[in-house]
Amino acid sequence: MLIFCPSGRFSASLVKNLLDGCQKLSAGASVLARVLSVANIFIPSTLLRKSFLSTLGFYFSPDAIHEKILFLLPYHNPLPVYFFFASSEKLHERAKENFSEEMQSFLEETHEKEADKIMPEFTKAWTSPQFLPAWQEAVMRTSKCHAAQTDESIP
Amino acid sequence: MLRKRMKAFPDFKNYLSTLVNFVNSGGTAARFETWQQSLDKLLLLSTKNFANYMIASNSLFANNSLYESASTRWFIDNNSYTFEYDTLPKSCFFFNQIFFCSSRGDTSEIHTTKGAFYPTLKLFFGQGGTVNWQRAGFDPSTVSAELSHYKID
Repeated sequence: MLIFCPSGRFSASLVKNLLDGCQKLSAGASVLARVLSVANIFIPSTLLRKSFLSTLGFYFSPDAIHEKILFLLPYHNPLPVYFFFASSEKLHERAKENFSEEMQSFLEETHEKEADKIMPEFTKAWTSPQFLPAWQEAVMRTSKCHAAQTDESIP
Repeated sequence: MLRKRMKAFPDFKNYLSTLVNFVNSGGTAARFETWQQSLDKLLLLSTKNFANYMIASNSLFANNSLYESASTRWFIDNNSYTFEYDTLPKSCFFFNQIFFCSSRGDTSEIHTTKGAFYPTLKLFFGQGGTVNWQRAGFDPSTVSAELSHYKID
């Protein structure tokens, strides 16, 4: 879990209010956040730099955010909280597009003709409304796991 | 993804193809969820299990086939099945299904049967059902066979 707090001091009441109002968070995440809110955590100043914030999207895919729960919590200022939720959707869109493009490049490197057969069909299905965001996240997660455990490039 | 070592063909190609067929077959959120749960568990096992499961899932989503080869195809007449995980992943088929085997231009049928298919083992355990020889000219009311339990590998 990463907590961003410009004042340098974690606000337990702010976290509680946010969690109470945020139905998207899982019960486990809420418990973790509450535990941390009691811990009174101080954030290093390097995390406050704009460059860090602007590149967060490259370091955290939407599924990683859901797993680790990224909070942007400025003290007495709720605006960046809204920024986080807006960003989550944008990040998902970006990851979704990147996944399709990376998959195409990857398959083309190995077998261009076969890639040209499967990718148009896949992209059509991938971008269709039937392919729910939850499915897309599961596919991206599975692809990463699958990639991590595979050794050979081709049979 | 490109930073990691992946097997593009056939594994990823099969995975993408399976997803395409899942969407085209009108797969539901509930079915995706149970299928995905099996995938998550299979990813903890060897890649061979994952590969076999993907091939079987692809056939199932594409044309309700449990097994396909150049000469033989086992399939059911509808897509009413569920995914479960029982030590190994399986697809459960409910009662009143017609199970077909098409081989070299001839087709056999098992009526009103049900069972479970284990894609990683390529085994189908069937329960109940009737086989007749109507297409050979025998009246089903006089010549037929009742099945209790059977296994197809």
